[in-house]
Amino acid sequence: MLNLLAQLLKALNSESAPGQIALAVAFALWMALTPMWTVNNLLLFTLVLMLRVNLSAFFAALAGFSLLALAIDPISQRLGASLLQMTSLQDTWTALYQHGFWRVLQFNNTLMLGGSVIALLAFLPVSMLVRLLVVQYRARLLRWIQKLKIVQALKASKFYQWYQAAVE
Amino acid sequence: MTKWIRWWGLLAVAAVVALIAAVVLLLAGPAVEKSIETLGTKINGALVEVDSVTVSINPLGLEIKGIAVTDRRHPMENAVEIGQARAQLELLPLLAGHIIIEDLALTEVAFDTERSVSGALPERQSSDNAVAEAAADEDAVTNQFSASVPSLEQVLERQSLATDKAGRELRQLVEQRKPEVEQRIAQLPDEQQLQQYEQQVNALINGKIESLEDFQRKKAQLDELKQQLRRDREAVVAVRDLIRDSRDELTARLQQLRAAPAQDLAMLKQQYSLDGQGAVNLSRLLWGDEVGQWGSEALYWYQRLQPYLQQGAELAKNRTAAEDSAAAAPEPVRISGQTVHFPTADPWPEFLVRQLSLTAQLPQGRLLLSGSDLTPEPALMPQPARLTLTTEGLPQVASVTADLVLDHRRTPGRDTLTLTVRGWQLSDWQLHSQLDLASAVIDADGLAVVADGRLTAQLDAQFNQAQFQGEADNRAGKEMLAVLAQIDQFNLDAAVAGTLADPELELGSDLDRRLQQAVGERLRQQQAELQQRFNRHLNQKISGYTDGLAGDIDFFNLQDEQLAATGEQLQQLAQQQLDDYVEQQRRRAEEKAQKKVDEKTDELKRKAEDKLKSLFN
Repeated sequence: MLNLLAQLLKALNSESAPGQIALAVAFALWMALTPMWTVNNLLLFTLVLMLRVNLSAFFAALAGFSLLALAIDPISQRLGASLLQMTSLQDTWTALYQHGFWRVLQFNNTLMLGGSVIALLAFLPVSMLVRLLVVQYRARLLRWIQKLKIVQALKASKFYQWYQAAVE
Repeated sequence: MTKWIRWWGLLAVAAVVALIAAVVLLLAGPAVEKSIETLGTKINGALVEVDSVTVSINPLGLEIKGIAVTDRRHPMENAVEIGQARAQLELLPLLAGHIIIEDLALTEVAFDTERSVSGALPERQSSDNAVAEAAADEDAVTNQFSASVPSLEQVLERQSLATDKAGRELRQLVEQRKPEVEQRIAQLPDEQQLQQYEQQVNALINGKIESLEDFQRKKAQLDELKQQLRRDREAVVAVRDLIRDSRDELTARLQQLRAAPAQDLAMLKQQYSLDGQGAVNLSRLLWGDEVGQWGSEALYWYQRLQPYLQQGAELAKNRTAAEDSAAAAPEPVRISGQTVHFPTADPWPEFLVRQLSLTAQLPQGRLLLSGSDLTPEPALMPQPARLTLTTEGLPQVASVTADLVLDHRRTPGRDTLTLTVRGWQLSDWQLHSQLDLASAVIDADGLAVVADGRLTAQLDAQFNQAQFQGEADNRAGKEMLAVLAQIDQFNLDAAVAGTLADPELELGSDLDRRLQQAVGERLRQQQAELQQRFNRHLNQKISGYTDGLAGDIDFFNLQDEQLAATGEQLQQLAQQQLDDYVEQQRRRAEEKAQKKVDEKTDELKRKAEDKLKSLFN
């Protein structure tokens, strides 16, 4: 929990652009809503590593969204199943199924498809919302938060310093 | 644009990929080796060992050396030993968790090789039991065939003859009913008891009644005695009923026994093909054991394979059921979703061997086996699994081709084996203790189909350049050998039908027809002799069962007559009546009054006579 909080504070208080944090949260949402150990998530993680998105924010959001996914999974699964069984989309799915690349991405898994669709639909709104929140936070709450004793204690801890050094 | 790229991230990804590749190269080999040994041993029921496994990245594949599969029935032998197996895997399916082997090549294959140590499983409670079980399985399969090829003596010994059955039932009835009747008769009153009853009845009826109390006492005694007599009579009637029933049953069983030989004769005629054309089923006698053994061996291996064929259908069924019930099933902490499959020419089951090739150098020649689309999930495949066996360089056979199609894409599955043998040069095939097929060239075509648990198979073999050799110590045998010596070409047809658990073998050959023509008269004589033997045999059996039966029937008749007399006597005794006391007193008073009247009459008469005498004197 401390780890999560430290990551969040690190991200919010860093010099990172709000867009980097917003993109990290959106990618985290995508990764959290789909089955974890898949090629799809490996590619996503590779993308996260290669792009200058904020990693602290990414890991913090991934942990948070993974908890959220437990509640959303049944909806994702039903959505995926209904999409895969939709008559009008059968030709599309069948065409995708003929290519190994798409099958490796497991588009024909109900949870993968449903989770991906929800994550993609939410990608842009989440990015924009997070960006807005970060900007507002830095403008209005940053100074007040940094004065809090708990934050100062946290930032003074060895763990935070070690983590900061490691990430930077 | 480049400000969005994190270069150290790119390096980190490359490092991770390299690390994974290194781990795969180092650890995958031993892991696969262990998996093959563990899973193989579990499936085979005896040890499966692997010398080494090497993993290659480009092309992605495995090289397995020294696979030894123990023969479950003979733990000191390997059923198969594979020197080298090369498997080329597809990367993309592997990333998705599917093992798709593009090409599997097995070389240096040998069968039935010796082992230095037993391959029986040590953890089994008793490996001997397992071996015995396997042997018993094999025997059971063998018996399915061999039981259908009986000899004359075997039929007489092993067949359940109707005569025997009826005879045993008859003897059983006599042995059961006779003691029962004797026991019941012993409980009935004997001669002495009857006399005693008679004396008691007479004493009560004829005795003088002194008073009303005396009458009532005697009447009560008589009533009691009568009740006893009635009970005894009822017991006599019951025993007579038992005797009558026994006699009726005895008659019915005797009739059954008399009718049984006809049934047995019909059965025996059928067994020995003596009916209709009077043919002798020579092909069955000559080749029945041999064809039966081939069939048994094929059936044994098919039954070993069958659970895995059914497993595929079960997997497909379970997958459909899981998909159907996905919404209703209880959900785990993190659900994993369901995989939906679409039509494709390139399916990815969990495990698939697209192409298999096997080369074995046997002492007799070279064996080539090729296979395609081998998977435990056939329902996903657009085409059935196929195995084709061919031979090269066999000195005695020009060519052998066996094509096995395992089609389990739908339920019920359908397995088809097509066999073609050309130019099989046969030598010294012992057909009978006194008959050899010294040489022949065989061309054979076979087709076997297993569908929904039912087996249908047909094998047509053409024997050319046939030469028979044999010895005969009787006239009939010599005649037959003379006929066979003139035959250089004949065919043999084998048909198997029925369920896998109970297949029935039928063999036919034009040899039968040709022999019939040649030695028809002799065969008819043999048939008549054989029928006479059967008849004698059955008559002897009937005599054995009916010996002493007349005495038993007489016993029942005699007992019935005696019981009839006893019953009659008891009935008469029971009908005796004791006069009413008042009536008796009235009768006595009447007798007394009558006596007085008579005395008075005599006196008046005497007086009148006296008066008349005095008047005339």
